[in-house]
Amino acid sequence: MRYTKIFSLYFQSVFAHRGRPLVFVLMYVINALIYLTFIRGVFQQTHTIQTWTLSSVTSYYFLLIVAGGTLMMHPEVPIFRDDFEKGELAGRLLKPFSYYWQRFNIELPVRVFQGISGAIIAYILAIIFHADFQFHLSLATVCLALIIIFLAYFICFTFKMILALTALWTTEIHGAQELTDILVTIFAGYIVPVNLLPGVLEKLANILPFSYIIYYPIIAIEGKLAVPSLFSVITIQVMWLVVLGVLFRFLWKKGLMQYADFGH
Amino acid sequence: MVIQVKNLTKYYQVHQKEPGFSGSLKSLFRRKYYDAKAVDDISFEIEEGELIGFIGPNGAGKTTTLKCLTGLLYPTSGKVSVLGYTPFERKHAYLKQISLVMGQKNQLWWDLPAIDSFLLNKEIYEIPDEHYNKTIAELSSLLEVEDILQVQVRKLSLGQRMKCELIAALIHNPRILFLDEPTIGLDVMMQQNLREFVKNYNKQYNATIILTSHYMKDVEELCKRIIIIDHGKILYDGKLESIVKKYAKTKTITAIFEKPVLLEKVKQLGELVSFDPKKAVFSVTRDQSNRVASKLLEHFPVEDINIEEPNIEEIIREVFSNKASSV
Repeated sequence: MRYTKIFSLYFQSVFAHRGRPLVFVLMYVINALIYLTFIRGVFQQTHTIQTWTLSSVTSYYFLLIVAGGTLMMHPEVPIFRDDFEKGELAGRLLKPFSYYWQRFNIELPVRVFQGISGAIIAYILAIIFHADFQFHLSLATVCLALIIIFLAYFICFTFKMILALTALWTTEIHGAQELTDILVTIFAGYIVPVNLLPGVLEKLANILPFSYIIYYPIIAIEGKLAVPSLFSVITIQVMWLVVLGVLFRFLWKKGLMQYADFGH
Repeated sequence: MVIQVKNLTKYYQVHQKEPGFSGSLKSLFRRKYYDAKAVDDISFEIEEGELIGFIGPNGAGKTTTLKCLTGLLYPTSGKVSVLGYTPFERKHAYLKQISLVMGQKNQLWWDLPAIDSFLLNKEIYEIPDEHYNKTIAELSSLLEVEDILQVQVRKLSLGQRMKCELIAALIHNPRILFLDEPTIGLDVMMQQNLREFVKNYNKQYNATIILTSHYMKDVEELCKRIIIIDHGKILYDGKLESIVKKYAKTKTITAIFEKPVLLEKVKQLGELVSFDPKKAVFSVTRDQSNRVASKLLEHFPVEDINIEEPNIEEIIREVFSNKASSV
């Protein structure tokens, strides 16, 4: 009940700033359309590439809009700007509510808002482009796919929180942030689905956490993974979440011991 | 004792870069750091219900001390105990009993009415509905902000915003309130309103209040006890009136006469600061003030007489100029 109330209060804040998240969704739309245009060109030469047809790949890119809006978050940007540069961290640290969950509650309404907006836009685009969303799902695969989406959210959030914490040691985090964005673009499945990446890159994508945030949740919800594969994805996600969770706690503890809050 | 500080020291590691491009290049490979002593081995104790003023120039260590007491900063060494808790552990039970208000910081949602920030704090501090409604009604009436609670924070004046900040900080009825420059940037009237409020809050709830301020008026009106800090060291810890007695060597006597008097006669009484035939201002030593006043009343047609302690700012300046050697 308490968390629901906090969520609804933060949701009001998102409504007050609705322009920005909407623009972010439009950016996902534009990216998806650019990649789609490129891959549609490839499909003029062939009907299938590995397991992908033109219809399924079109659906993939539209689902990417929803997944990008919901699962690929950027809490590190407001954390660095507001909490570190403007010094708002002090106020948050003195609340009897963990910093991780405060930020989680701030981020979640934005994701829900972007996810819903993204889904509406994706649906309209699907009608325009005659994309045929095909979800081959059973009750078991739906449940497992939802677990994958849930874990993907936490992996991304914890990873970005770690990225934000680097501000406790460095003057600014934009370099690390840009690098992460490049890695995400390549390995999360933004440019092409991960199994279409060249050999080494595909292997790397399956090791790094990024594909477990975007690519696998999409193909899981489309029903493209069999139950054993879904379990494999969940296992790797849990491993990543544990690693990131431990790393976050370690860095948070270390970082706060040297936190200075200079000039605020 | 609600606050016990023993040998608290806080050093910051500060990066020092040589000027120019070569300095930037060098710092890429070898960084020089030095320890800036923000707080240097200070000890003090505070009892429940006290209202204490922390005084010192910029960079003296006031805010750093406050941040160590609230748990924002990890002390380099020494022991800090607040309400029996170690602040830096930031246990939720501890955080629910304290509050920090920083005059230069906004903790309210900018684009939403203040009431929404209060509701968020209600949930975060797990305040029951009844208690919340009572506190909001009380505080908003005391601060006279009932009409603006539903107005977007960005549309409020600085004074109105500061009042709402105070309400947000007091919703959970903290036992200890840390106020860091609460009147900064406010106009004289608003400063006075806030002082009145702080005074009443301290009395009504027996809350312990630790205040830092550049405005001596804040300290003078609110605090019986002051701690003067400079370069991280405590120069004085005691009653405000004691420091006045100790450092105010002179008093100012202003006499207004019914009819003009002669300068030659008046200047025999003590050092004249200013004179016109119907008004004389003297600076006299504390032990001479009563004698001079009675002589004035006895030998001159005095219409009005006023004996004043020196300005508290002058006294503090005196403390700083005599630091280390005399305190």
